[in-house]
Amino acid sequence: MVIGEETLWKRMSDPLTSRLIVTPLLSREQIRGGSVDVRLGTEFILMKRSARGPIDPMAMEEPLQDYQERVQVEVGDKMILHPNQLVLGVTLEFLQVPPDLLAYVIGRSSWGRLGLIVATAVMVSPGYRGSLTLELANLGDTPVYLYPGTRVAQLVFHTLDDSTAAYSQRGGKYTGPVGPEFSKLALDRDWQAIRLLSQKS
Amino acid sequence: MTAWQDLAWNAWRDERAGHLSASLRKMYGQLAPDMVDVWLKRMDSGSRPTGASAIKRWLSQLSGGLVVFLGDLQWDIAETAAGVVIAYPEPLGGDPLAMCGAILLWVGNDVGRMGMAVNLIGAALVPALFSAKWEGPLNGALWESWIRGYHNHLTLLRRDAMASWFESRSVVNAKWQWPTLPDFMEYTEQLRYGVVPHDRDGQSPRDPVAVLLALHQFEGEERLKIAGLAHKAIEGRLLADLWQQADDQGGNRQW
Repeated sequence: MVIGEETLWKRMSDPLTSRLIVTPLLSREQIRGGSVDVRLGTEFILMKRSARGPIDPMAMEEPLQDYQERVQVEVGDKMILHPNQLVLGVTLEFLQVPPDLLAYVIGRSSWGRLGLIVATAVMVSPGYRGSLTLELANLGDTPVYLYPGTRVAQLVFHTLDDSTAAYSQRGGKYTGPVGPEFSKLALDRDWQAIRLLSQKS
Repeated sequence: MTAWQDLAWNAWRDERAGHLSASLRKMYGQLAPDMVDVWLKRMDSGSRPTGASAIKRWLSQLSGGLVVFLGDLQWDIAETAAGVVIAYPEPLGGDPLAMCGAILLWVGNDVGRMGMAVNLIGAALVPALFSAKWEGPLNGALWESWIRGYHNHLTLLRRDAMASWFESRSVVNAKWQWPTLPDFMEYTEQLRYGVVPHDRDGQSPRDPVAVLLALHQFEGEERLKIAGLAHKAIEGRLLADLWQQADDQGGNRQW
């Protein structure tokens, strides 16, 4: 069931462990109808063309500075996103999803019509704490400016029909960040098996 | 004839200075000659703190001009007519309370400046000094008495004791009116729990000093982990205030 506006506000006053947190909330209008608008934050990770070789998710202990560069763009400034360029952004808001809810991230179609695709990771797990890393890609043919502080996506909250262990208690890899985070694919347990199988073959 | 070494030095300066932003170049042009090379190297590195934009804003308010932070290994300050440039220990850059050490650096031994700083962020000033583990040149009688008082006050972390200590400070013919200590317990709990300090309507804490004092309750690895949460709360407050001002000017009140 989708959570409505009144319940969203109520959940923001719950005790800390079950509270819905969305902060800073620059405008009350960000919570309207059944969704919460989130804004583009000020920190970005730019993907670089590396001279060292391709990214190997099985061996991501390689220095990530070869592939990424962190930049800060203040609210009021802008950053250009070129065609086919991918950058990692972050929501301006820090979130806590209560353990009995989950959220879906939906990119705003107004941006999509300019070629900007937001957030390929669409589900935010119950109990997640932190800002959300946004994958931003320009699929159009024309460069687009990104303005921190603009509303880039919506969160729609749903209830769960049974209690679920919170994300952090299940060993989630992304709990608590306030800036964008590079992929932590290398932490997946599956790699152990895949690595062993690749040695046998 | 100019020595080839001097020519090389000048060429290096010109090249480096050519990369500077207009505001930095203006400051660079007004530095004392014996300090130019040290600051140019810092300016050239172009690094910036992640936890100090609030402190920068406070310092701009106090000094009435442009303030630039540059990463280095130690604190240093140069004041020019074009603005203030501050070097800070880069490992402390993510910690907003430690970065308040920059305000103390600007204060120096100037009693008038101290009064201005006390009015602005008084309750967080002394914790800031020790958070930054600052061992700079402020070793005058004024600072010695502060530090002695701080160390003698072993129960400083207890709120009541902290408040009374602040209220009782009087140094070198200057008795400052310390602001009332803000309530920071709720923010301390939120930091301990691992979330960005906030009020229940999702707004950032009204008083950033309360967040700094909450941050001061943590030590060791825990402090390193949560400094970013405190920074986010303070930045959120500053942004919300600016946003509100802009919104009011646009005639579209949202809160």
